[in-house]
Amino acid sequence: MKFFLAFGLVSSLIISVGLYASDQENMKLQIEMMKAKIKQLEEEKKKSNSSSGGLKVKDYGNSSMGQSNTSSSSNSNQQVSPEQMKQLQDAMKKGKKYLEERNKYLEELENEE
Amino acid sequence: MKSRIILCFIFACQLAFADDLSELYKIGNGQTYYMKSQDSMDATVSIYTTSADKDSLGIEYYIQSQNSFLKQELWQQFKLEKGSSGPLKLTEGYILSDTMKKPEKMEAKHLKGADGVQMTDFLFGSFEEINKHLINSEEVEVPAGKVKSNRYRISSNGQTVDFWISTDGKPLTLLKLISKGKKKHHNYTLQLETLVRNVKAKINPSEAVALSKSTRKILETSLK
Repeated sequence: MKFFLAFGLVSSLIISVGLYASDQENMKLQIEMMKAKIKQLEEEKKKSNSSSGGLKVKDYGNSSMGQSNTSSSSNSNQQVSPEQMKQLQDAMKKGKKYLEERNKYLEELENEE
Repeated sequence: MKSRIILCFIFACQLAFADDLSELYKIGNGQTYYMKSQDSMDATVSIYTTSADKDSLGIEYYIQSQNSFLKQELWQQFKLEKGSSGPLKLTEGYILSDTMKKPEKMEAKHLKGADGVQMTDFLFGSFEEINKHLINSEEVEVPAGKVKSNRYRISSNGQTVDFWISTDGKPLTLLKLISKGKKKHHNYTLQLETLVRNVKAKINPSEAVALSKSTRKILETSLK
């Protein structure tokens, strides 16, 4: 019994470490995404603050004014590259898998007792 | 809608000084103004070039008005051409609102001016004629910045319009405008918020359909 308890404890620790690693990965990706967003906002600000003959200038980057412009600018998902999105999805899958395994071990331990 | 004539006025101020349109006007460039009006909601008005060659010019207006309950969006596109004697004429006009599925082509009668100070006062005026209305040179401060300007005044049919045009660089830019008159729609002010660059036209004339009954009614009411 002690052996199983020790094994369960070790397994839980391994899973926790795995989840921790997964959380770290998620956090890194979120930081990268935030950095990209900050960079984009800084560039937009730079554009809006540029001047021509002492007058403010705003660059629309070949987008039209009105409905479509508003909707595209409010969609923050466009700032995440496909690669980043895939990494994020993989990390979430890993986390889910670790969580399922941990629950399974805990259930097995409860049943043995 | 009543602001149609007002809007034409804004651009007309600049056209009056234009020699070669393609050299002066770059596609996608223009201005955004804040408009306060006595007879309607405050609005943001943007004007930018959609096409330009030596003798013709395409311009588009984007008008956004909003209060706490309602937001309205309107686009209008016009084609202006030089005649044989030089003056610019409005030859085509299109309208699109946030409630329309496709842009609608305006009829010739809707391209004509209304009472008061008209766009023709500017479009058909030469540089010398406009300068007859010069009051003085002064520095003017608007949300877009503080710059040197020439101040002009034009009066017609009970409407008086004071406007300030930048004297630095080309094309000449309308910085501020104050209109006063007997009628409600004669009373409004405009101030330059920012210059705009690389704006894509919203209206594609090739997609335009004939003017609907409801739009015609609105246009005709606005010109009365």
